[in-house]
Amino acid sequence: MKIKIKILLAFIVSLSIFIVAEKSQAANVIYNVPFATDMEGFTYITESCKGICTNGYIGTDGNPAGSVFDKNIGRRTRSLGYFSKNLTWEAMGVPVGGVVTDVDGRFDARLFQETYAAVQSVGLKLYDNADTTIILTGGVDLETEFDCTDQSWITRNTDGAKTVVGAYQASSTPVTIRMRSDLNTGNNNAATTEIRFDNLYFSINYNVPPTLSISQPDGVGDAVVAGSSYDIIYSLADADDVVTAAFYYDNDNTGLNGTAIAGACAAAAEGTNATCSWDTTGMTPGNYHIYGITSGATNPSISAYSVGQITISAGGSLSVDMVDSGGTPVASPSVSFTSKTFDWIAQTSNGTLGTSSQKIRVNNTTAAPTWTLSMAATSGPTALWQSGGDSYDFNGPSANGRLQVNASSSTITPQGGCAATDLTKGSATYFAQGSQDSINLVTAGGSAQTNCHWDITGIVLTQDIPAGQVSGAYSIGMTLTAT
Amino acid sequence: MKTQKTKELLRIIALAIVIGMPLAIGNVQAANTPQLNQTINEGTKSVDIVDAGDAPVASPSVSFSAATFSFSTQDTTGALGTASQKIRVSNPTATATWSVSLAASNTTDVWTDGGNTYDFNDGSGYTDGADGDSVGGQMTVDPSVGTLAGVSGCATANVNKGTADSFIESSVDSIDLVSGAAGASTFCRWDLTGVSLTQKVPAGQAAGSYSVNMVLTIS
Repeated sequence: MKIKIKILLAFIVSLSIFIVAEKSQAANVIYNVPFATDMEGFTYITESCKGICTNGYIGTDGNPAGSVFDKNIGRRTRSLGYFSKNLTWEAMGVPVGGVVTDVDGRFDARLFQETYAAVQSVGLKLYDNADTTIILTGGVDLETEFDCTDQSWITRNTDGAKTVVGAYQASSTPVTIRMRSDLNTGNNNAATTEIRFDNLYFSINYNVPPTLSISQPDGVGDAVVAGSSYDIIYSLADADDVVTAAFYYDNDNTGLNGTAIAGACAAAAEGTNATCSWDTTGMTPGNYHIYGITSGATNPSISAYSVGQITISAGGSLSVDMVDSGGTPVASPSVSFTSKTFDWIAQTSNGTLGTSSQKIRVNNTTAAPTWTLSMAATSGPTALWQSGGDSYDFNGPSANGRLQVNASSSTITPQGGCAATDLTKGSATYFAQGSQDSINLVTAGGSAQTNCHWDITGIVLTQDIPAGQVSGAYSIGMTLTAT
Repeated sequence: MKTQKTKELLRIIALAIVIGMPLAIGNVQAANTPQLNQTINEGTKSVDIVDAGDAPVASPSVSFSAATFSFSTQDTTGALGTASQKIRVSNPTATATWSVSLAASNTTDVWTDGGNTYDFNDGSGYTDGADGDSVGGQMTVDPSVGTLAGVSGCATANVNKGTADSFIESSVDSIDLVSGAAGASTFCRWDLTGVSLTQKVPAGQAAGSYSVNMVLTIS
């Protein structure tokens, strides 16, 4: 028992999933011609007539009221023709843009009189606008002609739905309805045959084309650096099918002759103001329109161009320089420590890395927000402060000389409207050969801005000078690195 | 008797205080390669009297051997520079040459107990000679018997102790104790102890507690 329950539950779950994934089928519209008060715009087209041929609307009979009739009098005469009406699918109720896929038809008929036996043939057909070509696949009738022998009203609905040839599927296509009548009389001069028709009925299935629009890029603020991601914002919907859109970039907004965008934008799902992320790595700098083409719908694909362009600039870089107050790189940046006098005991000296005239400028125009600014000796961890032949260490024990870097109280000044979001200053740290060969000054986290640059000043440097260090003009080269 | 330290007045002018502009390394720098510059200036040469712990002695002194009144001339001796009062010569410069000398505060000074006096630089020795005062007496300084030791491993090569000499007013007013010659270590310190001092005391010099101020000078 338990097993049966489990199986049932599994089925329910599976069914539920299926329902969620399913999309509504093609839409349907009914076009009905009741002939309740008049000819409903139909006219009778005579192909041939022998005997006395009459036809038209009759208000005294119908199913239930009003109908059209075709009547012929004479010996073995024949009236061949059809009630005809030319109209578009839209006039039958298909919405603009709809694509008609198939049509099922039926009609009511009655052999009002057949005074002498004869064979009749009536049927329902759909022709093109010129009324020369059947528009149903295979050239078939909507309702195949038959010999109507019932003297009371019957509904003829033998055939199923018929597929409409593609060329005639557009909602704006004019088509011609034919209620055909091949009327014959019996072997008597007064033989009379009359058939009446009512309630021409068309069940029309159609698809609504998908809709696609691209709201971004709109040309406003749509500038990125090659290598960064850009979110294309679009709205895609289809009432009938599950559709996707493939996006392309194009150097103009016509022709649909651009280049496909890979990744998520190659098959973007339906949604309103949905986004797909475009990785612009490798893009040639320039201005581009975006267009999308739908796929997956029963209807033909549709396309849409973006209103504006996206501007892609050259690939970004991450760099660090020391610049003067005007932002010009300083050719030979330097830090002057406080001058000291020879002393028999150890002493310390301070310097400031980053001043108003020699600012550390980190420039990040890459797509990646994270970076680390660090400082290390240019000549590596074995470097020394040197003055001629005299030297002392920057990364040894205090007695031999060591340099402390303290960025914790430094100042970070964002430039160009940027912010200092998610930038972390390094704490006071000593160089130590082999274990602390590089010291982080500032670290940018994942929320830091890109396409920004920041000026950093006020990093405190403190050097322990060994006891008895001889006089001289010492120097040591340092390198700032942003990675 | 005591030797007064008057560094501020008599210490020589510092040889050179080099406040050089930071010297750039020859290589062309990029804008991301700051050069750190540190200037360390030379210090000033000095001479001090320091105790065994190398702390300056506030009132250094030399006690001569006590003497008893005598109708004859006699000598007393002392030692300038002891374990507790070392002569500390400091040369925090790049110049190897220097000289430390001993002199009285004034060449006309005499040993005095407040009333009685005798001379430390009379060229006639025990008796009064042709100098400006009217008392005899003469001090002889002999650094050669002293002990010279480098501080913190400083070498004594080319650091020379002076030879014995006696003060004579107007001709030998200062006596060299120790000097650095070319080749002597720079940025070094040395301790000098055991400089022999011998004072000729005139006959019949009245009893008393005599003293005369002396000054150590480095130049």
